[in-house]
Amino acid sequence: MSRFDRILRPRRAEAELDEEVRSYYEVQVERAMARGLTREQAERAVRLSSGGSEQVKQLSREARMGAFLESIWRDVRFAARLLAKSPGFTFFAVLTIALALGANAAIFSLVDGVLLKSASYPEPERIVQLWEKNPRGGRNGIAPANYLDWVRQSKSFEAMAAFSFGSMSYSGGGEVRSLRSGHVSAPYFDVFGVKPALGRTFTRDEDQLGKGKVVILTHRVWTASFGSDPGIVGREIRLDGMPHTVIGVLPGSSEFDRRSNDIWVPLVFPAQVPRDYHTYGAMARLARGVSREQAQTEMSSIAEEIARQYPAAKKGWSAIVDNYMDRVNGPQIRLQLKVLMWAVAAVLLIGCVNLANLLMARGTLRSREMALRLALGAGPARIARMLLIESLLIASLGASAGLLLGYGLLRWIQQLMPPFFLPAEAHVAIDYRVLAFLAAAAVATSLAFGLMPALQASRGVAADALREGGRGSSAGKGKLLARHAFVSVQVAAAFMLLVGAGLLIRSFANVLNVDTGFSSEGLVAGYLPIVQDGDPDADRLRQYIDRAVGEIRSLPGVTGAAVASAIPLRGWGDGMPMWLPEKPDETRFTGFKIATPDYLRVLGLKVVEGRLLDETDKAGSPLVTVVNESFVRLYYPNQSVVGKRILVERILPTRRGLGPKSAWEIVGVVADEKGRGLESPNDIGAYASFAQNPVVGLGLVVRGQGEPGALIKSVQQALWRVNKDQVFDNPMAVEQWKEQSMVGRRMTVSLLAGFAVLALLLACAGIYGVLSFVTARRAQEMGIRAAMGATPGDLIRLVLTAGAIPVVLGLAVGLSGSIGLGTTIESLLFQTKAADPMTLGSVAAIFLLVAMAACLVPALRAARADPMTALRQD
Amino acid sequence: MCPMELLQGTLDLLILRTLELRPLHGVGIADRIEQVTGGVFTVGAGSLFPALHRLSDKGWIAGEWSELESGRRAKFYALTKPGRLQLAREKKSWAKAQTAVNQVLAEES
Repeated sequence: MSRFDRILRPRRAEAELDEEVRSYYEVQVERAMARGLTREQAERAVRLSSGGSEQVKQLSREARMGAFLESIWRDVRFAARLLAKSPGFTFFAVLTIALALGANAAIFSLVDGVLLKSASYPEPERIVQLWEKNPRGGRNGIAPANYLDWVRQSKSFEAMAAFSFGSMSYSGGGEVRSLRSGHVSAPYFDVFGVKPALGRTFTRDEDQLGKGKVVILTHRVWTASFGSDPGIVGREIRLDGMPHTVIGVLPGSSEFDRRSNDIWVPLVFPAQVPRDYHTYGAMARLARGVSREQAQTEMSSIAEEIARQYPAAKKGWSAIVDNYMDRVNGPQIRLQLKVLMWAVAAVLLIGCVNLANLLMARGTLRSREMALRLALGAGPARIARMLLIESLLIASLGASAGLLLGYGLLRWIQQLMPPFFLPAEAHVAIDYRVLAFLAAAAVATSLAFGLMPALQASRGVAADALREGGRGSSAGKGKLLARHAFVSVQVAAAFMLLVGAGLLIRSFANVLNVDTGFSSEGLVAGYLPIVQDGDPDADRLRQYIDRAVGEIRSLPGVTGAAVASAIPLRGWGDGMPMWLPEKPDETRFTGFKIATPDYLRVLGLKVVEGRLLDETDKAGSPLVTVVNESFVRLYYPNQSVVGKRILVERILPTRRGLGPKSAWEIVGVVADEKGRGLESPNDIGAYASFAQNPVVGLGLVVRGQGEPGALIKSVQQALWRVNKDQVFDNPMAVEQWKEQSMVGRRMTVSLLAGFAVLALLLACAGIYGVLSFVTARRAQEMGIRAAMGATPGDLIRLVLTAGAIPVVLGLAVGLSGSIGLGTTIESLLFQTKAADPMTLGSVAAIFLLVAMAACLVPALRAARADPMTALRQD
Repeated sequence: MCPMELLQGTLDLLILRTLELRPLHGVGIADRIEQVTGGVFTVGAGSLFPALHRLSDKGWIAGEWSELESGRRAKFYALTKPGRLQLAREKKSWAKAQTAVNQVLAEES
């Protein structure tokens, strides 16, 4: 019974041991009885002299286990000695595995952290996000009046909470600065099931009018700005100039520490709330035993009842209930991560194929050694085990180095990402899960590249090798075919990776070349949160903004300054319903940006028709608007729009609702401004004058000379001269924002391109290795050919053709595969076709060139074939 | 003279040597060692079976079930090819060690 049998069939091994020992005792007992003892006496005598049979069996088992471990250890040492003897091979093999497993470890920790690991919320599947469903069927923000009806009427939820994110100024301990605030209904933390680390969360009545001057700190802010003061609960801090009592601190290193919000305050609705101004989000926790579908049914009927009651505002509207965890990650990031995971898997596959090839080649070179071992009585299983241990050793060394590489790669990726780039629920780290993955991957890898060579070496080879002097011929044919198939597989995989990377690189170049409609040189922008106590008065708001903008404009080096309800690349302000006077029943939609007249001039948007907004568009004068080219293309194709009117509701200065529907006269058309980021598919928009519709919720845009950081600083100081509590929130050079908005794309492209190049290099190493090996084995044949009069050119052609066949086959497979791949990743492409002929063509060309270069070295070696070698070998 | 327990390495060597002549089962091996050493060494089951399993795991001996004269089944162990090589090696190193130890002892007296 071999050791493998014993491991595979422990019960049989145990039975054999039992019988063996029993038979020994029986013989001893019979002998004693032959000396005249009774059976009982004999048994006792034997027990005394030989010890109990159970003890003997246990000792035997231990001896066996010890011997097993010892022999494994012997094999490991032997493998290590062998590897040390061929440092070139070992270095290449370990490097290949290290690169491939390092990439896998880094990408796995991303995938695991973002997609696989579950959030720490209790029963996260019960958390849902609620939306209004607009008449176009899309997910829409929620108007507070509807939200309040939902809270009152729904029975599907244990807790429901509205939220909006903003900022509050905080001046404790130095200059005033803004803290990112979450404004949430009291049950918000019950929805997530979050328990505070200190103090408490909101009580159910703390979001009622007249209350709400309390604040919960995140652990992050508590540590950074309050020195982790354990007595913080109960202290008062000034936010937006008003005293707030700290009631709690959230737990550290949790989802709430990875959210951008620094502080949380109750969302207090005023007595009168709008039904048609949709500015809030809402979360809820499903009541026990209620499914999302049941909640959806209930919410739809509630929303439809609201639509019946208020047809003017809500006709055609409904509600949507989403499983929250399903929507934490958008389809884009899922697809990006999936593509990266497949890419590193492909790199690993190519690496494994290389090593399998190398080991098989080594196996052939070592076949005499193996034959000797077989002849000396080492069983085939023993030889296979020895070779597998060698593979496992390579894979383990590679995995250890790969862990370091993976850690480095992950750190690099994390440094690339701006803060809060990943959702708060993502928790990316090299942890025990990654280590377990790496260990499993190492074992799988060693089997993938080691099993076939090991089986091959332990089988048949022995007889073969002794007979043929390590040159194998007929049996070698199958192996050669396998090697060529390996090359094809490598080429196909590497080619697809290169095409994927190529498509994304083209898309990235297209994004880089997007015309934003304005020059971002010297342009800085940030938000201008305005503290409102009571209702801000329209006149006072106008005067305040005039003074602030005037102060900034007088700064040296500043060429222009303006405020707007949204700043460049960071949104379109409000998305407003709109009607044409000639079709009053058809609701249309447009981006609606309220701005001081200089906004269009500061950006330098090109005037296509009519005029820009200017100082004559004052509070009392007729309402005017400037629309953009996309607006005209959609609503007035091939018409002159100057002089036409559109109907849009005014926004109340407080932003707490909408005023009456008003007619705005179009006075001009400008070129598109990329409002919703570089990749926004449409930018239909209209601009209104701030003087004619003053609102809070503004951004500030300044163009000036000099370094953006210095400009931002002097703008902040100018604002403080006007109002010492005024914050310039989240200011950034527009160029920097542009860079940041491309980070996700840049990251995917760089990683994928890196992996693709690695795959190409590995595949070339594979092509080179196989062709060198094949050519070396054909040295004698080449010699004969040379002797028969073949020129070096003939020989080169011969080798190149032999090398090219599997490469071209692989390319053909890769080409059809990459068209499929292109379609799969279509949503990641930007202005690039899935089957982009230029990408496919250039990648194929690069590939052929590099592959031929890899073939050339062995070909040249073959060309130098000396006719004498034909005679000399053997 | 009292019977002596054998050191592990020595026991292995003696078992290999015993099996060099012909395959034997456990009782046979123990008997044979006791008999050849004139009763100086006794081999109890507690050291015999672990040694047999250790040696067969190293591939030096192989066991096969067979019947005794009494009709009882017993496992007979035989020397394998690697076992023969190992025995040759151990004989050599034993001879070396013995010479060395003898030299040391001779010096002392």
